Amino acid sequence: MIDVKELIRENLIDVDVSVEDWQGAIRAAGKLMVEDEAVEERFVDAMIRVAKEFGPYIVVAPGIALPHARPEDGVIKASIAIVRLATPVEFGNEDNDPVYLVVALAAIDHDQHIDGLRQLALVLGDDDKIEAIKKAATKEELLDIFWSS
Amino acid sequence: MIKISAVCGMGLGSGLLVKMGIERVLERHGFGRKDFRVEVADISTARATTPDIFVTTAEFAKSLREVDAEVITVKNLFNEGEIEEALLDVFKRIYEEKNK
Repeated sequence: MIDVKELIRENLIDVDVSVEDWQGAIRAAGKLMVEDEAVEERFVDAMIRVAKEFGPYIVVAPGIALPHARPEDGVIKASIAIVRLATPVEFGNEDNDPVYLVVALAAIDHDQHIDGLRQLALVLGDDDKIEAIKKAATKEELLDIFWSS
Repeated sequence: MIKISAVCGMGLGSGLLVKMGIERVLERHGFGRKDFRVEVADISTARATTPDIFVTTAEFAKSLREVDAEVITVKNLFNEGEIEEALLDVFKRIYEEKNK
């Protein structure tokens, strides 16, 4: 099983990223993954295709989107990339828009990322940690919040 | 044994989050492995899972109309309080019916 620190690696997190729209938000997270050689470039397109196919359900909590695609869409290494947006964008989700945090998930199968996802869920289900995520001044501060779970 | 299906697009992300939340809520209320089982299902195969309860988001609930099961929707998949509020009464009712 993979710990959250092995999924959310130092190069896979960024703060105050400016994007035009929801596709740009997904691409910003995807770019971190591609640069880290965690996924092939086609994975990024696949995440956008999935979001279009299934609709804005990927906004899984107020302000938080969890884009992902299938393992066979070009995942090299199980990873989670986190991008906090400079300005929130609309994904078209009535309940949970606008999105300020993109948590992109690259899974290599159905099981290996479960523990990491569990740790992630504890952070994102904690109101105090959500406040800290919104306020983190640097990407190092943001990373600490996820790693300390 | 109550069967619960946590439904999402691909069974990789949000469905797993829902499953974890359901398990934590039900275990906290004293229900164990012999009382319930949660499976993650993707939307294309969800209908074939024939659970007692589907738990999903509003988007997927639309395509689960006309199923012979309770369909419960949640908005914030990280919020156990919301899962608890939406699920617990329905779960307990089915549990009591099955254990008469």
